[in-house]
Amino acid sequence: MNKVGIAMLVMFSILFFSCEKDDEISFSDVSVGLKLPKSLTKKKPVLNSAKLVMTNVNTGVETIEQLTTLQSPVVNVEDGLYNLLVTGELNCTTTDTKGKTINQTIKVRGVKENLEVVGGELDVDMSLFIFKESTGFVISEIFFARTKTPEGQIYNSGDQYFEIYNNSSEVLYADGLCIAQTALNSAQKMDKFKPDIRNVATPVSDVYRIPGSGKDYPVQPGESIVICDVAINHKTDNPNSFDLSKADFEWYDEKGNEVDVPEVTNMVKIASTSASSWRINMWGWQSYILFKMEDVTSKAFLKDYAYHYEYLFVHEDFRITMEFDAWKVPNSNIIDAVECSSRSGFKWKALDPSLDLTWTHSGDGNEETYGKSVKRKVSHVTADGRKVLLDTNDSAFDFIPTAVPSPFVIE
Amino acid sequence: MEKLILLLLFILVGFQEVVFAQQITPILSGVIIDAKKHGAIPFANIYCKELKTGAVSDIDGSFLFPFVISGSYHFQVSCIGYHQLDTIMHIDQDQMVRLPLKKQDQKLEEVVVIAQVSDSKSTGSVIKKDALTHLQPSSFADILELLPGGVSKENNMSVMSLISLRQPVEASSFYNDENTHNSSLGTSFMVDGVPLSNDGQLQNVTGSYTHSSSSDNYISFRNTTGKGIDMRAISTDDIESVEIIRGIPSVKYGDLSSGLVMIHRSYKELPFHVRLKADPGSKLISAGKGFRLNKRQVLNVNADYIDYQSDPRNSKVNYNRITGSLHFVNKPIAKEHGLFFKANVDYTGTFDGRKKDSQIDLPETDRYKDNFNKVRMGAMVDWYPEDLSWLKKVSGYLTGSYTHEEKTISKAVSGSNSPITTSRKEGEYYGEFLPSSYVAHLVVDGKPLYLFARFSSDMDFSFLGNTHQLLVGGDWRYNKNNGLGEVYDVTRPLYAGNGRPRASNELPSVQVLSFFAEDNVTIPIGSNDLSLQAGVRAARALNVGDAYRISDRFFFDPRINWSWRFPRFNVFSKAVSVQLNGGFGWHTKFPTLSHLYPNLLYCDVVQLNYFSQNKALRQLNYCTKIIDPTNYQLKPNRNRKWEIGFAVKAGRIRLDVTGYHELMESGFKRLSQYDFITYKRCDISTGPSPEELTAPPTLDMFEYEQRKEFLTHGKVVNGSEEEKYGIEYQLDLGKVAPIYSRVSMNGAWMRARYGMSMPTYRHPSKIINDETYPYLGYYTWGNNKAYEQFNTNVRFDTQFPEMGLIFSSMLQTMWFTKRSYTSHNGMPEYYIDNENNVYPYRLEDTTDPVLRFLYKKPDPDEFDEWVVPLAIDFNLKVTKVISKDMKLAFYVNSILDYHPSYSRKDGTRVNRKVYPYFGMEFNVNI
Repeated sequence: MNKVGIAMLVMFSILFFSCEKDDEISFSDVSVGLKLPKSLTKKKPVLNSAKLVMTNVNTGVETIEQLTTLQSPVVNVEDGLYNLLVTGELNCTTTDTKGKTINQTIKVRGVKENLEVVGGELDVDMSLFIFKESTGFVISEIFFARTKTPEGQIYNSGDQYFEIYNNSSEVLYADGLCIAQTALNSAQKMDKFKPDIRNVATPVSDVYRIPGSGKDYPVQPGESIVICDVAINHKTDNPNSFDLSKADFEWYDEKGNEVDVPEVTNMVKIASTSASSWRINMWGWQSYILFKMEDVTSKAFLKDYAYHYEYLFVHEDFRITMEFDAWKVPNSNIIDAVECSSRSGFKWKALDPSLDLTWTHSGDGNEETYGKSVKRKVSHVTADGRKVLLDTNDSAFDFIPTAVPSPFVIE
Repeated sequence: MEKLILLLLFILVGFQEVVFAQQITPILSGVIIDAKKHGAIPFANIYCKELKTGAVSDIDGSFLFPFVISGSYHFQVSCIGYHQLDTIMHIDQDQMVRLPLKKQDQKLEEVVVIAQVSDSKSTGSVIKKDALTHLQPSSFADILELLPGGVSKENNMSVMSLISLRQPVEASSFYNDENTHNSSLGTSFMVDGVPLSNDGQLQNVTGSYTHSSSSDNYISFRNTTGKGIDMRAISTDDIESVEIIRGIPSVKYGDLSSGLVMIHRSYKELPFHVRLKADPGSKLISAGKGFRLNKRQVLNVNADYIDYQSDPRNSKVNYNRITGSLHFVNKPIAKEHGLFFKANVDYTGTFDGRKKDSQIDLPETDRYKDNFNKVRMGAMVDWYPEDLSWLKKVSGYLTGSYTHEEKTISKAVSGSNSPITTSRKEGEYYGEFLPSSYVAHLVVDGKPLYLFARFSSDMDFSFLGNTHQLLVGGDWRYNKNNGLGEVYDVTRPLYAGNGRPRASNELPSVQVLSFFAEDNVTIPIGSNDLSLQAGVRAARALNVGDAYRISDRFFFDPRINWSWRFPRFNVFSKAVSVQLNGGFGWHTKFPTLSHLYPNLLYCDVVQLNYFSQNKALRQLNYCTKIIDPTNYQLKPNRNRKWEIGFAVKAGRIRLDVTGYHELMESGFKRLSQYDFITYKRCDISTGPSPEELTAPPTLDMFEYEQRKEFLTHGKVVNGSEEEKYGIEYQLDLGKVAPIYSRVSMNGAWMRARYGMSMPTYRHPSKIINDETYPYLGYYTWGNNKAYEQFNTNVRFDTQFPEMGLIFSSMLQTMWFTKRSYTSHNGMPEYYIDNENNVYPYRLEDTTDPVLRFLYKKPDPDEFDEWVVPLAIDFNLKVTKVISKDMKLAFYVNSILDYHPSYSRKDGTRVNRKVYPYFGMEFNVNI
């Protein structure tokens, strides 16, 4: 009886309390102190256009403020938890060595996530970063989810692949191009994670490089290369899989029972934290970067780019400081980056927002995931028929989530 | 609220009685009253012999009886707790009568529904039939909640049920991966004086992960190989009494290290009785009868069936048990002497099944089924000679059991481009790849045969004026498995890497021969009495190869129990007796078939993996190394116990307190060992391209690199150190008149520590510069834990004979449970490179770029104690005696509870939620 009584009391008090709260909704003024990147301050930046979008995390309501200056804009919003995004264009002027004036339009962005707005007034600082739309290689498709066999079993014979597309109008060379999986998992937020270097470099756990001396693997504009785990026609073993026998490269790791297909060139393994062969995260909880570090040898990478980090693992009453060794890739070397996660699994970003503002996904870590990929959207087709893929470093916008895989085909 | 409704519902059901009344004259109406107190008696039965109909009195004691024809009628009026009234009444018109019933001598109140302290000299509890009937057990595990330190648990028959004596609840959890199962293995179960055995079981599934969080735990949680008796298979019907000895048993009982459970079944005339039980998971029906064949012979027949589903809405996981038993006794003409002959035949069948939840669009391929059929037969002779003053008894027992257990597993498997490995010798082999997807079928066929024989005699002799009872004897046990072991298509194994099954029937039998001698004497010292039970047991293994250390020696178990009884004295005119008890003993459990004869380990490494797009050109070469994980040095598992305690009896009040200390230094444990494998790693780019080939390439066409790597594997060693100590107490206040209840309390404070008495090796799964980690660490510490708990259970057994109701309320209080990791420095003693060179590990190595991976730096609070505070549950059980031969019972556990939220040291708030569970039971004697 006592319990019931207490429960009733609690229920009534909640009702009473919530009624009262409904009557007076609180609003707060949020003042956003925008800071331009240092490299821009000398370039006499003039604001062309900019807007601040504040999204209420709980209700999804967006408050959009067009900015006329880069002085601290003030927005009045209902109290709550917010994500802030600033997008803007600046006109900059610089002079080259010969004294000639160069006018540039530079795009900037800024983000702040999970800002708690409460208490009437709030000042927040936001650093803006320069945002470049790439015009080179882009990751056009990632098939991380595996396929299922007709028996309903997960097919485990290596049909995961990446497709890399030449999004420019010139011939590019794939030689030395590296693909890496992030060490951080977007579905596992780490407590007391340190050192956090994401704004300057990306922690990676597996790195493979396309061989070649510089001009061995040309990729025509509008064409792509496919790199996969095991380059065979998987369809003969599993009708739900794909024919990857025409893949350009395969990643091979002599550990475990990894098989090597003699017909297809192996990528050069630079680094891996895994004791067995590399299987990419099938739920898409790790993210991928494409980069070049021309003059860095494998040995030098292992040594000079080593990255040691730790965090506090908490599970019920079990707590332990976990230490890990991985490597880091300077963000300035990164050509393209795609943050992946799952709808309900996403906890934090493995990549700095300057590399990818958001994230894409295939399914939601569930049955829907199998046999689906993430694919970059086609932005437009040029007069000569070349497809230009959408690349605004905003994966939620640039990618088709839970897409039907189409290796070797851009659609 | 739910609990309240349940309670109300029960009360309604319990009290609702239907009166059959018809409006035909003449009518006999009346009231049934207590002859002495003149109060009305509700729910009394009025039976008319001639009409063969009856009525039941209502809550005011009144009843109505309509008749068709006038005349004389014979009535029987009965009610539980009262003497039956037989009366003849002449009925020719409507009549109103008062029928007085005389109260019986409190017969119902004598029902003892608790575990009593054992009368034998060993520390233990006895649970008699009345308590068992009241407890409504589905399986033997339910009985254990009556022991000090026991707590009630929800009945779960979808996984094995192992006994856990003197172990905190958390320590014996299946989810405790450090659980060695030495306590359950070391507890002997005896039925009618003959031990059961599970030592011949070999139902392991090679390659399945035993880690509790793996997806294979449905296999490991049902595999009792090397873990002792699965209590699910023991029927609880047909039991006269159970004695559970936690302390030091007589030397008559052997091949045990932790405790002894003695089940005594009924060998007597019994009416036909039926028991029906239902709770949300299970339905049980049992029936039995004891036939008196003639003056000296009784045959008991019993059968039960239980159907358990872990979720009543889902038949994917279920467990069924069928048992049947015939037991016969032939008693001598004279009661005291002559030949007692007992014989029994028992059958136990258990059928454990599990299907995987099917995805909507996928075929169901994954199944698990375990059919267990066991037949047990025994003959027991006890001869009490008439004329010999020195020879009191000669006993000869012989029993055997034959089991056929067949575990069938089907599972969809991904081949993952792994090799098919079938080589039986070390060397290099060309092989094939597993298909990328297939359905594997495995049958584990086990046919354990178990024989047991014992001969003993009891003798009396006088020495220094005292009469000694001497017990001498010997026993022999034989375990063999005649099964085929794992049977499957070696090219389609359940786990990649399997492919070398071994037939269990190739293994020799394990036999243990023992002798024992024990003296029992009571010596009066002044007006005190000193009772002594002292004996020694010698046991050795037979039929083991000379290479085994246990092959050539006896292991001796000296055991002593004593008690010192002080003279009685009076306090407030009540006789008080005080007794001190103590004991010391060694206990030896021999290794089982699975411990002595593990399967050979085949370690395969792929040397060449030429996976051409042209399937005809694919080539695979692997190298096999064989490791024999047999531990020839394996010793039995030995446990040393110390006990001290006292018992105080004052009138009906009895208090028993026992302190104990148990130390097992050489318990069985699987620890990691190491070896090396040398192999060739071929670089396929150095060989021919597919266009140049017409047939699969051979090893010699490729350049290779010679490699050497560590292999770590598990081995059963005497590496577990287990220490248990604590205090058990039981206070029985007898009947407390003002509250009409028998009040009793028991509980225990106990601590158990699980350590490692032998070293282990660990190889970090770390990649250094793209190479596997070059060193192996030698560690003398593991993930060892200590557990502590303190509980008190208070029972109120309230009996209302007038209403035929027994209320049992149990307040289970767990004052706290604690757990902590045993502290260590995180460092290995030394480390080994792949040339087997040994280097000491120094403190400065913990910061070395490579060697630091051998160091597991302890967190600052890693060895702190984790405490779970107070938790209280209130369980209610009500038995309604409908008539002398009919009982209805209902229970709700955790009907009320107090599990407050608490904050852990790290600031996390823990909310605990407890759900009540309930069941009901119906008993009929015909």
